[in-house]
Amino acid sequence: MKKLTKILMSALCIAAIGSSMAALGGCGSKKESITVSGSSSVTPIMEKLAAEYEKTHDVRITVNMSSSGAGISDTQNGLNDFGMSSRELKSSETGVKGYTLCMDGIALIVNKDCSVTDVSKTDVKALYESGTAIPDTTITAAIGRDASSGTRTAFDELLKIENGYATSVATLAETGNVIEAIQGSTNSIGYISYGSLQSTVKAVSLDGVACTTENIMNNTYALQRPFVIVLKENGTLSAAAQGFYDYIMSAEAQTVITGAGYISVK
Amino acid sequence: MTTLTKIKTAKFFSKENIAKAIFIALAAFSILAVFTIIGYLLYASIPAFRDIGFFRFIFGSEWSAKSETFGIWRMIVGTFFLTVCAVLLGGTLAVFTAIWLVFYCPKRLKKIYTQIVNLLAGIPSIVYGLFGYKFLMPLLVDIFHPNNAGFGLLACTLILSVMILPTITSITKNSLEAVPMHYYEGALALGCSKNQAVWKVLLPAAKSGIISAIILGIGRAIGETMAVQMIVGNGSGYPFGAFVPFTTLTSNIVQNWGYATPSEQSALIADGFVLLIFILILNLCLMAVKKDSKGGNKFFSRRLRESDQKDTLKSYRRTGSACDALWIVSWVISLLVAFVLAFIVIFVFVKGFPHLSIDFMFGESGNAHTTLAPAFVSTTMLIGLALLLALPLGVGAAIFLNEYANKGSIFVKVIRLFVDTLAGIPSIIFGLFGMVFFVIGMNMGYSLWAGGITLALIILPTIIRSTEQSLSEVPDSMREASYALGAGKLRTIFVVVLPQAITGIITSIILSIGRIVNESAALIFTVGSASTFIPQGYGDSAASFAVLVWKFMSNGLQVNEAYATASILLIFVIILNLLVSLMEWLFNRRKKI
Repeated sequence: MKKLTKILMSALCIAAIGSSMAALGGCGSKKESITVSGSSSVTPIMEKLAAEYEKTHDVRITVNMSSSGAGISDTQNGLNDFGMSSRELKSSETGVKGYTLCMDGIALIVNKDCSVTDVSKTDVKALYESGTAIPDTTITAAIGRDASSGTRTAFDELLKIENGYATSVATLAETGNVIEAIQGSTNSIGYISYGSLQSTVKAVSLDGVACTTENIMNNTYALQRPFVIVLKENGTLSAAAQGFYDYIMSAEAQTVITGAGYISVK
Repeated sequence: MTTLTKIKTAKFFSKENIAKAIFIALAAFSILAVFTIIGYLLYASIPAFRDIGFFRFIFGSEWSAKSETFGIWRMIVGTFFLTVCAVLLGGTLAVFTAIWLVFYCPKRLKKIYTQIVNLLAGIPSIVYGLFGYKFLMPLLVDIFHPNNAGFGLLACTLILSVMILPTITSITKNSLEAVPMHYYEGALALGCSKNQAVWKVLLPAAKSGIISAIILGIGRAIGETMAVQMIVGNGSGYPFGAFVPFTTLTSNIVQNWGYATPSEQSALIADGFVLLIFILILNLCLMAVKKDSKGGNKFFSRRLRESDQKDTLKSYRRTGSACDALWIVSWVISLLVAFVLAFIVIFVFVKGFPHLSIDFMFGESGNAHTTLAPAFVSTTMLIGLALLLALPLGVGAAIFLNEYANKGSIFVKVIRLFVDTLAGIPSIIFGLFGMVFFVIGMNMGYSLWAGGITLALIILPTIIRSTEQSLSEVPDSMREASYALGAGKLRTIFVVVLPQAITGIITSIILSIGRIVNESAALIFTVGSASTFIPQGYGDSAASFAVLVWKFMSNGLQVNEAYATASILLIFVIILNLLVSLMEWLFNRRKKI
């Protein structure tokens, strides 16, 4: 009995010490590492680009998903190599500069069982601003994103929603939460990055224009915004980060970007 | 220097005295920790209070980064409403469950049912969130056809009441068990039926215990973050209606922290500070209630025992009174609670197991294909670092409290108060503190260092209490025998007392591991959420299992992986619970010998 507890105890101790030693020992042989953080809309494409880049280069790229606001402030505070934003930088965000990676549409999505296929800009605006149901449809509720979301900032700017949402609008923290909420509700509409659009939900057209790559490219689809890479204004990137930055801005990376459903700007 | 002073100095710096000083310092650490947390959060929120104005901040109802107006009245009302609803529902359920567990539960089921309650307490917040988001909300939409996707007060109340139920149940259970048997026997002797004795005599006798249980439940409800922020909807309204999205103090912090303009950051810390003040007030209430309860029963020492129940279990005499109805209600409620637990666990397992594969668990992880391998490593690293820091601190403090301190002295009372306070602080506050103090203040960045140290603070009270408890159960005769054989105090503690208390210490380690595995809010703020690579050192950002569930859910493409990770988390929780029971069994067996 005593033996058993002793064995248990020493096993625990060894595990604790062992794990910390192993972790500390690991520090010695560190690969060059790059940290990218920011927008949850940009994260999927950044992870794809990182996976491609790692095939040919011996680096570790850590993509930290948060929000555009966090990505920008992380860059300002020096917490990452570069940030990701799904909207243009604001004039109040100083000390950083942005470079457009690609364009992305903002898809309006509804439940797959919802019969609605087309909505108008003014109706959507009224729904978000004052909670009025979209006329002649089953859509009575709206789902938005939190204030730090680049998708929301762009969406609000494009639809000229200036005074915040109606109290009936839920604001969710991430792209995925919007998709999941729409999956569970036939009377709601939400908006997400076009690149994150998947078959579990249905995109509706806006003022008769369908949300497709072509329509975003030729500017007929109204809801679109840039994905922006955020760099420190006066800083220099580390060699590894510079290499990755050059890659994502290259023509080679653009094929990955368009392949994933985003719109190249090059 | 004369020989006399030499001897005196030698005595003053003796091994024993130095050790005592060290133990005092370790015990005082919790005081330091609480003051640092309060002080630093206050310091970091001063800019907000100064710029916005204290009253405008508290009573303002607009939160807008654009116009830089920050007011948390909406969130205070939201938190208040949600807490009241959840505690009314959860508290009622919990008290009935506790009564059933103590008085009506068939003896064979008792151990199993206690396990069920413990398991409910062990399910991570993030898993409750996942369940609420993916099952409860769509269900509510199907039933009520509300004007949104199911966000709002109703869904939140349901989830939160299940989350606070175990806390209230287990403390109510303890206080019911502490009611002297004479009360029960007296009631029966006066002609009460068992039901009448239970509801009219024993329940009122345990009143103060139940009140403190409910206060603790309120604390838990106010501080709950991850599950609530998923289901609450974070709308800009007040929670007047079952399906109106609203915001709580905690969900506001999680939602908006990303928007890190310094002025809003400070406002969010101030939001956390207000939350902390509420918790501190609750702690003071708790202390007042506990002080109250010390009167009464000191002459009757005989407590309710299992053997008593065996004799009295058959003594039903139904009178058709309201008490009999309550008896039936308690059966229904406790069966319901067991059903809810089973349902949550089975729901997650059914959704998660099909997506578990060896490759998903241990395969090489990269940006193209995220596996759980990094989470195994980072969770282990977090556990290692947190225990390495908290175990010496906690055991040292417990040794001081039990072996050195003069029980009842003010210093000891103050330390206890601060340990309790530390235990009551919600993890989101630890997260905020870790963020401003370690990540930014001490320039650690999002790293396992920052997370591990923050976790050490979180588990410290658990270790202190559990170790102190088991130290106090070591009989004094063993210490006396050791002294009689000429051993010093230090030697007695390390050679005689601590080995006796080892089961308690191991239990505290297991409980701490459970707490760490469960933690998500504090980690997102301190360790970040980088999940693709095995961390190469404590300087890296990483994601533990719980954070990984959050991350998988958040990007919307990997819900199946979220379920799979959640089922692994649940398996951990079940194993840890079984280990705790095993330790208790070992301990009881030894006590009998």
